[in-house]
This record gives sequence, C-alpha cells and structure tokens, in this order.
Amino acid sequence: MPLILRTIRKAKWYRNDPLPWLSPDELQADALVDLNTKGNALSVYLVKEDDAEALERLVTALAANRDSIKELDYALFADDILSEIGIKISAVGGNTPDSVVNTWHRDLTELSASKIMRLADAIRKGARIKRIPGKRIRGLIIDALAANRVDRAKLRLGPDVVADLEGAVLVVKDRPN
Amino acid sequence: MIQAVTARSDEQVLFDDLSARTDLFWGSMLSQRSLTRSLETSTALSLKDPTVRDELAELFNRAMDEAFEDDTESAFARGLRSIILTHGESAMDALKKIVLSRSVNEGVAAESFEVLGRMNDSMTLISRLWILESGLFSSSARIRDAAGLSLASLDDPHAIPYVQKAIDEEQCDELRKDLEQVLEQLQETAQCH
Repeated sequence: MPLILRTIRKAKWYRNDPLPWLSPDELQADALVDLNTKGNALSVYLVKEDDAEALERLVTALAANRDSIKELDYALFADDILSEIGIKISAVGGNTPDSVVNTWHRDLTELSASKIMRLADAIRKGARIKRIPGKRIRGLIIDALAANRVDRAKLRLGPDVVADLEGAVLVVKDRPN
Repeated sequence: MIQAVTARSDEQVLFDDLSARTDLFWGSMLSQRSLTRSLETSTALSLKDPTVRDELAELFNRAMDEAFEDDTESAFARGLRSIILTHGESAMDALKKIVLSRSVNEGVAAESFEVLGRMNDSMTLISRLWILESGLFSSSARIRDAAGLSLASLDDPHAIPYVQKAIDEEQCDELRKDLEQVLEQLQETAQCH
C-alpha cells in the first residue's frame, strides 16, 4: 500500500502535549499551517510502504531542497485516508534536486476547508510522525552528493554550506569500500 | 558561572553550578517550572539599551504577521540575526527578556531559538547557550522542542546537564524521546573532544 508523506513541524502535532486549554482529542490550530494549501492544493509525496531506501531518498531530497541543513519532521500515512475523505490526488512533478524523487510528487487537489480539517484529524490520529535529526540529514545529503543523486545546481543551500558538504563528499569518496 | 559544567561530571557539581547561576532563572527552575513568571517580575535583566529593546520588540511584533516556512529563512530570522550581530550582548539581554517571558508567542519564540542555534558568532555563544538551556524548561512544549533542536544545532556539550534535567522532567513522551536523541548527539560530541 502506498504511503503519503507530508513535511510538518512535529511539535505542533504532539499527541500528549498537556496544553491546559486543548482537549485531548483536539489538534492545536497552528498545526493547520503545516497543511497550508496553494490554489486549494496540498503538496505531498508518495512512497511505497516498507521501502526504507525510498523513504530515506525522499527525506534526503526534501532536506536538500531547503536553504539550511536542519532536522526534518514528517507525517506518513496510508493513502486510503484520502479516499475515505474524498480527496483527489494528481501526479504533478516535484521540485527537489532529485529527479527521481520528483516523480513521486503528488498534489492533493480541490481541497475544501472541511477536507483539510478531516485530513489533519486523520494525521493526528493515525499518521506515523517522525523526525530525522539535523546531523543525520547532513550525512544523508553528503551521501546523496557523493552518489550524484542530487542536482547540485538545484541546491538552495548557501555557498559556505555547500563547500562544507563538498569537502565531506571528498572524504566519503576516499573512504575504502 | 556556567562554564565549568562540562569540565566536571558528578551530579553534585552539576547542581552546585546550577545554583551558582545566580540569575533569576535557575533559582526558580530548580524548585518549580516557573521561569516565565519569575522573569516577568524580575529586575535582574536590566535593559541597558532601549534602542535594541525597541528594535527587537518591533521585530517580534512584525513576526506575528509572518508565515514561517520550513524550507526558507524568514524575514524575522534575518532581522534577528542582524540585530544580534550588530548589538551583541545588549541584544542578547533584551532578547532574554522577550523570549523567556510568559507572554511571548510560542511560534515566534521557537523561530528565534532556531536563529540562536544556527548563528556562528563566538561573541554571543555563552548567551545563546544560556537562553536555549533556559528554554528547555519553558511551559510551552514547542519552545522546549525548539530549544532542544537548537542546542543540537550548536552541538556544544555544555548543554548536556541541562538536556538531561529536561529529559528527567519532561511530561510529553514524544518530546522526551526527541530530547534523548539530542542528548545522545551531545554526548557523542563530548567524546570526540
């Protein structure tokens, strides 16, 4: 079964954060910012269940598409949630520096406010919410650069950061197999 | 007063050092999580530079209208970095008062913590560590999480005893696990030094 990945900020989705004003079965409003739509569409990625390699590649591509190296939080949920809510899904190319990952991109389209609310609630209740630490992200990007899986021209990182990464890439390439 | 923590490892020394942090935060933190309340009533953080204070207050006000994107640095982040680099410790003193107050917006405070964790400025390193270590004991889980992430970004083993204490006190299981990852990273870094 394919899974849907959406980047989020984990701290807004805690299931047991004892906020005094929030009832346990509710989601704080700021979490909806993580489901910010453009043209009533929401950008997500498809990844096969139990394909750890693909998931890692996807996470790396998303992390490499930001202007700094930092942790990456995401929610991962079964795609049947979409049909239950009646959300349409369209294949639209992504814009990460990894051309393979870009083919996994999808837009959730024709979204109404109530559908977004239902999606948010489904994520809160059933998604796997994960964090990849910044230090691990750095290692993943270095490995992706060494394997030429990412297009250097599409990196949005600052030149000093890229120079640092390229230095580490040379170390990786010099490492005996 | 906080410099010696990582040089010695036993718990008694740790708490001696925490007690030696004579600023208003640590005295209250050790007895209860009432950081922000005590900051609101304290005069310990006198603001020597009203211009910096006003500049920061204006920046935080403007940030309320900004949507922070995860993949792009915000105007708020650029502004905060610029103020800190320009004014140094005066800015840090004013910032402490703002980000550790009960009334701060937690989303903006979290964004400011990210800036503190990502800056490469040795002049303000001690103050940035101080704010982030203090933030671990905020009443807001989002701020505690941002503090942990930013301390991981600084990767300074000085924070180890504070992260450990935050883990011991953390009520939110998910956040505790993330803080444990931060602790693990800092301990690995300490072993490399």
